Amino acid sequence: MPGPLFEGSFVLAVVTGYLLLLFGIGYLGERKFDALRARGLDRYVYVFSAGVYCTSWTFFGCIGNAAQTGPSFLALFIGPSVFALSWWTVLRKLVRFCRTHNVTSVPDLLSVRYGGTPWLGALATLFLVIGSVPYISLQLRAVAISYDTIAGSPGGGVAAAVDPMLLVALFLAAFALFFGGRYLDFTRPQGGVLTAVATESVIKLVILLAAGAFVCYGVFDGMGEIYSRVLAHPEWKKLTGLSDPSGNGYARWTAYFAIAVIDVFLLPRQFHVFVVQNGDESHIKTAMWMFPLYLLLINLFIIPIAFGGLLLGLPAAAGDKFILAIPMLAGNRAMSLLVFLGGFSAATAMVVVSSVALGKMVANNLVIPGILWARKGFHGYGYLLAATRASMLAVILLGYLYARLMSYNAALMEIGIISFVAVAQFGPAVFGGLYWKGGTAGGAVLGICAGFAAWFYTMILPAAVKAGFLDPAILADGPFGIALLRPTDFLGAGIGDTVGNAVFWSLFLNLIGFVAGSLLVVPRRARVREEGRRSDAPEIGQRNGAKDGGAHYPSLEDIEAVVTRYAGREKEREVGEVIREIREIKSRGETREAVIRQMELPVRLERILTGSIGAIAARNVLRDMLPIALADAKTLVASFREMEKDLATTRETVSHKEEEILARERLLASVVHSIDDGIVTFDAKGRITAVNEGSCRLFRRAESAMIGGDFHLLIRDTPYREKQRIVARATYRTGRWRGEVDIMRGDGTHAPGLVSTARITDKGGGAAGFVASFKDLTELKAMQNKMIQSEKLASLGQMAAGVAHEIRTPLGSIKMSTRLLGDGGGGADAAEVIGTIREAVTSMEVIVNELLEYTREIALHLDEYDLVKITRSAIFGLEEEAGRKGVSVSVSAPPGPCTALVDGIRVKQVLTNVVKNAVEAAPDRDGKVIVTLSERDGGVRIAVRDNGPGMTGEELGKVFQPFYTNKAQGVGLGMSIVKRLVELHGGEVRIDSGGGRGTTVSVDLPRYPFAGTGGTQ
Amino acid sequence: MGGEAAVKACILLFLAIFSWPLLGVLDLPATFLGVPLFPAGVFLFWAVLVYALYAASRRGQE
Repeated sequence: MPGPLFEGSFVLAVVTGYLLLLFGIGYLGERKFDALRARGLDRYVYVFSAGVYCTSWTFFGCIGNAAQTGPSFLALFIGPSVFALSWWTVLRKLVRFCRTHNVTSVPDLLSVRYGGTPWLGALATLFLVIGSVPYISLQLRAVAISYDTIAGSPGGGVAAAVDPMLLVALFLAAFALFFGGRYLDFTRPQGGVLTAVATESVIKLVILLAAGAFVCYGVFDGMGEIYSRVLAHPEWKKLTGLSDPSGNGYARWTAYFAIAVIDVFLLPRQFHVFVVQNGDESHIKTAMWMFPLYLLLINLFIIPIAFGGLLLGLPAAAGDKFILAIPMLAGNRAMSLLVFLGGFSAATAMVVVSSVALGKMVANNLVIPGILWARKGFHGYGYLLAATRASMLAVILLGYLYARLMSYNAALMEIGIISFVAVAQFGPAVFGGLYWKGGTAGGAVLGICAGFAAWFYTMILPAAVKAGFLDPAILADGPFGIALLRPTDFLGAGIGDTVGNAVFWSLFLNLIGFVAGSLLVVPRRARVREEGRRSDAPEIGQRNGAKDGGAHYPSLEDIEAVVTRYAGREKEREVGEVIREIREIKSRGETREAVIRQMELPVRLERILTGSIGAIAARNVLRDMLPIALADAKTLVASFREMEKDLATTRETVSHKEEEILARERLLASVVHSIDDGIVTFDAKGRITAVNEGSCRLFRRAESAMIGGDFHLLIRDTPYREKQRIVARATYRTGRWRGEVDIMRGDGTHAPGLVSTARITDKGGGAAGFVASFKDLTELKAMQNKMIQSEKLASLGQMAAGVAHEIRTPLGSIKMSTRLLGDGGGGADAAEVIGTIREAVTSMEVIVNELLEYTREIALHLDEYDLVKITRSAIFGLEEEAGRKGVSVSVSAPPGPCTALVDGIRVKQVLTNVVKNAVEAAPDRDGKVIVTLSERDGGVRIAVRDNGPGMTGEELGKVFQPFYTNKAQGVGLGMSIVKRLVELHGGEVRIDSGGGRGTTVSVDLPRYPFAGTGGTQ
Repeated sequence: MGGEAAVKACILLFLAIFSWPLLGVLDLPATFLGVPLFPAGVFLFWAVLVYALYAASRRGQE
């Protein structure tokens, strides 16, 4: 190693000057922080102050690590860079939680999150102090090492008498107390500390870059030369990758990566600047890219500097000093001094922030709760502030003592990693608590204890062995010779690397402990309830010496006075606002709101006090002072707010639903009222209950005149009310009816209409009423009549031709007979001639009668008839003719009656026609006619089958045409009349016939005419 | 990007680039512009990552 370049007194003077400068920057920062904020520069102060992540451990230690094990240290900086993408979610959540609850440290966070368990905060503080004090000592040692390296002899006077490490420690303590310990409230922006630390971050970055450039381009001929020479070396070339000489580079890389992701937030200094001192959430977005950029830049020259030292023949074991030794070897005094200052700034920044953060943590979780518990000589705010400052001072002095007393000369990196792994043990409890509602205090304690036990076993024991405190056989053979218990290869996991082994086992057991503890340990609230039953704790109403059994709660003024006594004037305004708010609400007579606010009072006051004296102490202060226990108040307020939220949601949902239903009703009403058809609702007794505008127009009646009236009277009917009965029966029995009716208007006129009825069902499926829609068919009927007229005209010619054809023969007979009579008989018998004339006239009379029958308007007289009886009656009338021809006629019918609403005479006429045709078509002697009646869906089918020759396709097509016949006798109107009569009943006639297989004529009649179909009556 | 998605993306990024075995691809006795492949690759990916973070945060601000 090169010899010292400077006198100790000179270096001390420079250090003092630097510290004074730092003090000045801090002072300016404290005073002008608002101005910085106004210009938006606090964003950069925030990011650069987070650069306190890079301490002298980075400045010196990483170079030493790179010289010995290669680039695995980079994972400590790449880890946070990779996970920076999630900061907007994770860091922001952390910031919001801490801001909401005025949390100022990780133990406070755990105390608040896990229900105010006092010993959880104390335990966490103890572990954090144990894990962090060596790290503070590391910074002081780095200062001492670099001081020893650069300044050989202390010179004379004061410099020789003063321990530079102590001097620095004392100055940093003063700085921390002045800027970090000014207020008890830690949530206030600490402009002085932040500005000074941010400035130091810039200083160390610039100096490290300058030193790197000096090594690469001042000492060597660029990075190319350094790397080419290192790659040419058989051992050193392994340091360019993760396959370093010690092996297991990837295990270490992954371990570093994992702890860095957690520690970038949870290291006390990081938590303080990144979370507690976050003044604006949007700063996180800047930090998301700027902080990784800072980390990248600060690491840019670390590997070249490490390799440069090796190339210059410096021992790898002294790698921590390479950055200082290289410029000294090169004889560059200015660069050497600059590098010393860079390392010094990295160390001081860390010591200041860590001592402030740890000191406050110790004060809030150990000292102040202890004072409040003892209550001896306690006089409030001033003592608490003094206790906080004393804690900060104690932390720095503890670090100094540790550095002085520990003779073990471990590498800086080694000490730093031990602290890193220790702090990472809070990761599962903190992040698990934020993202898993099931996490409990039991789980947090179990996880942290398991993690720290594993950390102690796998990290501290090997370090102790290395320092010579323990027998090396523990590492080689395991305790008691059990190889599976070897601390560096626990349970034979084969991770290889010591750090990888420690990180894996500590975090794994921590996580298992956290989850298992959360799931298995009885939740605190349940335990408190149980303990409450057993303890002699005074009940609500007996607090504050209420000996008479009545409640003597302190007044709002008393509460304000007590809280202000603890939090000082710092919180006077906030406490005053809370009290004033309740008072105002009370004065307005809003009793309910006042009660709620008063219930909230403990929660709000706890938050205010937490920022000043920590969660544990805040709870202790408020516990005996308020009419309601803090936990109960929290539960009550949370439950109430939840209920309020639920009610609001329910109200909102109901209101939305109501609006939706009303909108639908309006739409439906508008549709119903705007359509032209008449819509009428009526009850089971036929009383009209509602009508639409279309009904009023259609029936020419006022709405008031219709409501309450008889629905059936809207249908014009015969005196026997046949149609009304049809509609009523079908609607009430089957639930629906559709058919044509005559609409009876209010002015006495009537019009054809189509009516459809339906049953309105209620929830239980019963009839809640009926609805009928009426359509005016006047126009349609007029059109239909026109069409019928034109069809009639068209068929008239055809009919006239048929009539002429039929009449011509008898007319010819008459003509000839009259001529014979005119000629005097012509020798013929006059009586015979007259007989011929008579026959011709009779024949013409039959033709004319049938024609009249066919063309005449038919009115049906409907009633319930048994169709079996009608069928048998029709067959009875044809038995003589059938017998004469030798044709047997048989009937097949169901056992009971087949009733239907029909005109019995007309149906008999239909059946007579059809059966007669069948008898005529059947062969003589062995002819058979079978009439089958069967009930079908909603009606009756009467099928008449004969065993005659059947019909051709052409004949089938013409069978219903008037005056078509294939018989020697007959006019050809029979089947036309059958079709017309059946259709008038709403039924249908079908003919199935084929050559040689007889003919089947099927007559389908509905049980109720026109139910579900259209038709005329 | 949602919180859960962001954390998943980070883990994927770590697994895809900054972890074994994929990182082992860079761990070869070769150089890039005179710099050993491992540090060159790591710093290159790191720089790209920083730029991506910058772009993402700018887009978030807009």
